[in-house]
Amino acid sequence: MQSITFSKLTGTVILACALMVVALACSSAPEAGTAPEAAAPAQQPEATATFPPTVVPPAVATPEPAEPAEAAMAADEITRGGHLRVINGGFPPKWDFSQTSTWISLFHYGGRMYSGLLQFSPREGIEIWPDMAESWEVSNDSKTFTYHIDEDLTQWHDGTPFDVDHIIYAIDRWGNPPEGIIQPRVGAFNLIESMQKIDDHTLEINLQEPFGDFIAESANQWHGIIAQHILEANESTIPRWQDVIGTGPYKIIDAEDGISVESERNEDYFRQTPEGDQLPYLDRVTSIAIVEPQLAVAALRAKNADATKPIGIPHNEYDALEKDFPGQFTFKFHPLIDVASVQLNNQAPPFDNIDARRALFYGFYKQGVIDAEGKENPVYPISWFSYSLPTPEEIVDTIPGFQESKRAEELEMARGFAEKAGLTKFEVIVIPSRVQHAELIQADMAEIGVEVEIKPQDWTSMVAAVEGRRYQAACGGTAPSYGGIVPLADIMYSEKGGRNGGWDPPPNYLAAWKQARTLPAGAERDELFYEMHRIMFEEWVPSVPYVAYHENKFHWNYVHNWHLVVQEIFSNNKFEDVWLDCDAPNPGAGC
Amino acid sequence: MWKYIIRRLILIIPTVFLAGTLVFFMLRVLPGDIVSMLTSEGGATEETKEKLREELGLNDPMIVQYGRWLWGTVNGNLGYSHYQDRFVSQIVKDKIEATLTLAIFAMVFSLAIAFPMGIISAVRRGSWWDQGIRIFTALSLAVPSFWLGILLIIFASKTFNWSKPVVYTSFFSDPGSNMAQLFLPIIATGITSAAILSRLVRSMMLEVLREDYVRTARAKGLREFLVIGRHTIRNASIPVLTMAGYHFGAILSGVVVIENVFSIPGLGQQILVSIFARDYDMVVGIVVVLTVILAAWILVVDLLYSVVDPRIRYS
Repeated sequence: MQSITFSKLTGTVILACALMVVALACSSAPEAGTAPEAAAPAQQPEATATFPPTVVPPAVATPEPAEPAEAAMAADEITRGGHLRVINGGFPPKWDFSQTSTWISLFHYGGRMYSGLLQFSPREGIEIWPDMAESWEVSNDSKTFTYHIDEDLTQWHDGTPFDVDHIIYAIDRWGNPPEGIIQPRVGAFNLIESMQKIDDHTLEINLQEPFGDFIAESANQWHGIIAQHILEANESTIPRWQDVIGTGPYKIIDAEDGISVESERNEDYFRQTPEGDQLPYLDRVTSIAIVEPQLAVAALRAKNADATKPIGIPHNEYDALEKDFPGQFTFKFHPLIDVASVQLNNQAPPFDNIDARRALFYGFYKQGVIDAEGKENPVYPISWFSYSLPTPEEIVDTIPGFQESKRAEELEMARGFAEKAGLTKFEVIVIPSRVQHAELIQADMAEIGVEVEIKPQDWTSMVAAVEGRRYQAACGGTAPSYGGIVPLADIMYSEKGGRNGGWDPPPNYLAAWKQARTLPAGAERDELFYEMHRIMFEEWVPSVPYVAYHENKFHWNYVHNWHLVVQEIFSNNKFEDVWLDCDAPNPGAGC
Repeated sequence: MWKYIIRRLILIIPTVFLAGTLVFFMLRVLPGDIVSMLTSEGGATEETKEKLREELGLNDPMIVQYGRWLWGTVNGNLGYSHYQDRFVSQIVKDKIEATLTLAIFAMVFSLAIAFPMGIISAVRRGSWWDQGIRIFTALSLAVPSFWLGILLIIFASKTFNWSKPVVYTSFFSDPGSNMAQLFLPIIATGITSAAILSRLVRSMMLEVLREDYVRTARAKGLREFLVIGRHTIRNASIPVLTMAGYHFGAILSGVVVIENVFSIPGLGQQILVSIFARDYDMVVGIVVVLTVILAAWILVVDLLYSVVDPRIRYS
């Protein structure tokens, strides 16, 4: 619509008031269709680690593999330059992402302006890639981790010389935050006993106790390294966007609070592809916060934006985009393995009784939620361990609540557990967007004679109630399970972690976890994870799984290497090797 | 006149403090606090949270917190947003332009279409014009502004593949781009007021058209255009101006939703974020500022009476 003049539009939109019905009629009905294959990685760096990546699953329902067509694309076919505009549904409250605890901060600036010691692959979010450290070693007792810092990393965005001591300062701040500073995502960083700068390019971290997954913690995007000189000049916080000074592939150049963050290529970025190609490819990246899904769709349609993070946008809109622009737009859904998000207060009646929890677990018809959502690719309830996951088929076979043929039997079991626990009534507090799920629970529980009272609340009130354990059941929030093992370790199991107060596991579970976290990746640790998985489903039963989508690719096809993966929230905000074709609205100068 | 203005300005002070006080206490009745929000995605221990509450003064008695707010406000300090780590006044300063631009243009838009519609309806009373405008105003009143906003987005997008520019530009740096961004929000925000005001213009016009001096003007052969323009509209305008003054308040509250629908970085968008975050100082600060703006606007409208009708004098 670039050719439509403003005055012409003015007249037209006034008419729109009378044509609202037409506008409604324009909404396309959902339509099944096969999305075109999206761009795949241009090249995948080979990890130079001397330690095998700890979070690579043995056999799991991982996200889609890299698509071979583009994976083989030669570097000289990649177009440099251009301006990527990418949408998300929110805006970070602060400029210090380490204090915010919301992944939206990583999206808007945390990911692309900062570097971590290591990073998760933006392809599938599991393999560990180099970042500040180009290689790393782990001692046999899993207590000493040595990182070899990239020699090309010499300065911060503002030209301040870089030093390994800056990493020590930033990591120490996680574990020992100054007065008034909170570090919600501290995770396993609180296991650090000491850190030493061995030489100008070598950092050694010693843990108080063995923790095999510390490498993964180092790659967690939440643990990006913040500039010491900025923190020291600003009472250990980052008050303005101008102070977002990192070492990442992009430098911040402007921000409109609540709306957008603009960044340009860091000409001195230290990373190259394995073939020696300098990163990043793009000249400029703008991240935009749009709350209203229809406005996001409109921006995509008008090519005012090139890609979106997928939260909240109606699926039929993507279908319509593909229908209207065949072969030009990619959307792809992929199931997210998730456990969420009915939390039961297991420290107070009625759910301090495991049989009450079992009644809910067996009585809740999960397939009913899938049907009610009317969506394909549901997220199945599953273990929190992203690499000990059964397939969706196995889920349907083994987890109660998915098969109509077993429904009568499961209801009978649920009824028995409810009677045994004396469960006749409970209350569920719920955020407005989850009321439908709560109503399904209500209907299912009515079938076994249990009355459910639904109390909608805003998010903050719900969190406050759950934290204060002033609740019986609560429905809302999925963050703990989004990122697989790393956020899991961060949020759920670290000594000072814990989420929303309602997740206390039984002692045998904690014992298994305590043992598992001391072991490096391997068969022994996997055995323990399987045991925890069993305990969770057979004994603990803390949650009623719900279903949702994981939607992972929404972009115009001129965008390449835009991979949103299962762990997208925590791993793919760097845009390091994203590039644009020449038919993009804002292509590189060489086009 | 000046005495009147000064008296009215002085009256704004208790109004603002009453509004601020009400919101101050109402916010604290809500469950949860900013510490819960800041740590809502996990991690922080209870000790950390308690420490933070202590540092932020959230554990102080309510009256102490209120006294702190009152003293700060009296001294021109609207407080500190702990959610955003910035002073409230800085945030308000950054965001007020977008809100005022939207609200003022929405008001102008509503008046710009309310007067012609009302006049045509009155002059062509009972005609198809009148009936059409009546249906239009009824529809405009019935459709919630946020929904109209979404419909406008869909319509522009699906019909023309057009959407507003995604990155906000200030009116003062690029008026064209700013208007392209605010064009649909202005319609969505102003349409309800336009509908109400046009009905008021119509009824006031009908009343004035029955006055003897209008009949006299027509009898002496004055052209209809001049009868309407010179003798009728002006006298019909005073109640409309009064209503427009109050509608500005409605528009200001309407922008809370519209700014969120259209991703406009104004006070409306900010107050919603702040309410959810239990960012007390920020919410109270915005309410205080909006109260001042509204009170000043109503004063301006009152003063305009004497411009429209020279018989009105303030003393």
